Amino acid sequence: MSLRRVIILFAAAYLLQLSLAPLCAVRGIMPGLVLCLMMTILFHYNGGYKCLPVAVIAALMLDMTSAHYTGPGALALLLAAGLVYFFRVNLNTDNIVPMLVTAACGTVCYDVVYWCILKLLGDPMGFVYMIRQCGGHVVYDLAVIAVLFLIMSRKKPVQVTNDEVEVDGQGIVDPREERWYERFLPANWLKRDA
Amino acid sequence: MGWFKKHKRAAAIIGVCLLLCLMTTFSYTTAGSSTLVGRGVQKVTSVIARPITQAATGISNFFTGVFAYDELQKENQELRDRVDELEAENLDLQLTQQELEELQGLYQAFDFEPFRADANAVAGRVIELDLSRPYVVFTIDVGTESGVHKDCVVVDGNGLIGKVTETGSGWSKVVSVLSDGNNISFRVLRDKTITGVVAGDGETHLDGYVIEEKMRIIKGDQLVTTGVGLYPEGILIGTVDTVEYDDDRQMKVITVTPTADFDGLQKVAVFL
Repeated sequence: MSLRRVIILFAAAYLLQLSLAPLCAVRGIMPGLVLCLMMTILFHYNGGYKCLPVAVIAALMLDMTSAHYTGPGALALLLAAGLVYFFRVNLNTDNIVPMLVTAACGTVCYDVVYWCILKLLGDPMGFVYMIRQCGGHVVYDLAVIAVLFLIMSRKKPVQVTNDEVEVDGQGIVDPREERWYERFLPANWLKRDA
Repeated sequence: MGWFKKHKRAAAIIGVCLLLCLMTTFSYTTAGSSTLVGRGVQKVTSVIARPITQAATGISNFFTGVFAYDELQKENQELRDRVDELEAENLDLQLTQQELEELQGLYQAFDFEPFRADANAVAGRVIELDLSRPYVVFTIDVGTESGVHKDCVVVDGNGLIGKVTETGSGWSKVVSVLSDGNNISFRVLRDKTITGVVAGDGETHLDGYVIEEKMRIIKGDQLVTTGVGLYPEGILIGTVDTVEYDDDRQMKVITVTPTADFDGLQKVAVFL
């Protein structure tokens, strides 16, 4: 995914987070669109970690505009990103189930880290209350991520790594055994095999 | 140093984490006040987000109206019936002297400074909500251009909401009483001699205590501000939910449910 597209997506998520998400709030709980987008890109795309600077900037801007303190949201998002990246190394990134499990863990991580930071800053919010809120966030975020994942899965481009090829919806194919994919790839990507 | 050169990506992430920690600490030490960059971001965002919020609210209200058509019709009919009943009652209504005095007392209770005719207030619309802490921090679309300044009191139609912590042109950040850390001095509407202090619990209620433990405060009592401290006199705070005697602190402690509608918060009034 190109940097330009990533910036556009996060800018849209940031604006919708502030304007549209509050209208979808149920008992004050609403989806974290920037967090959802970051987790989906990070999990689903090879090199998805390149979206992290943009995601952190979006989270910082959210902190500046809608939160009391600047920084806790971005820090929590970064740590959640670390957890998602750890999960993606060991899981099938083309299947929605591992994606949802990872997203649930990422959301819980985000909420717990955020709560811990606020607690350190003297916020009176209790742990039980935070966990209850967290349950709502998980449900909401999973719904958003499922939609994002399905959209991104349909548009995911062919991805090439050093010794294997991943074709949209076809799983991973070893190029040393299969050469039929060559017609889908730019010529300079195949110099290694020439 | 060798490790950092070898693991540039990890080093960058650690660096960003440390930077964010510093930013958080700085933000905490300045009590959440924004820097020049923060204020710029807030200004630009409020300009862009306002029309989107208004459009989304319009669409949301339209669909709510469409899907709730039957319900609204039913409610409309009920209100019509109620109006008929009230008109009939009104014809027969005779106020006794005692009832009149009671009503005058009630009027005085509600006649707090901010709602007097000469009071200065502006209405604001909620344009941004904090994702992680519902009902705690939000931004409204009025600011310095309307005379709003730090520590202005914010209410909705039902009662006390909070105070302005930061403001700029076209925006103001509001922290609700549920988490602003301020103690609020109260008295009971039913009996003005019962006074005490409450503060937000950071969640959905206010906790506090009664100053004189012998005073009889009961569940369902309505609390209003006394005028001591930041908040003007007579603003409705909430309804007493629980009353218990705390042996350790040797005082009567209470839990209060705010009367303000934090869940459906869309419009608020700011007293200048």
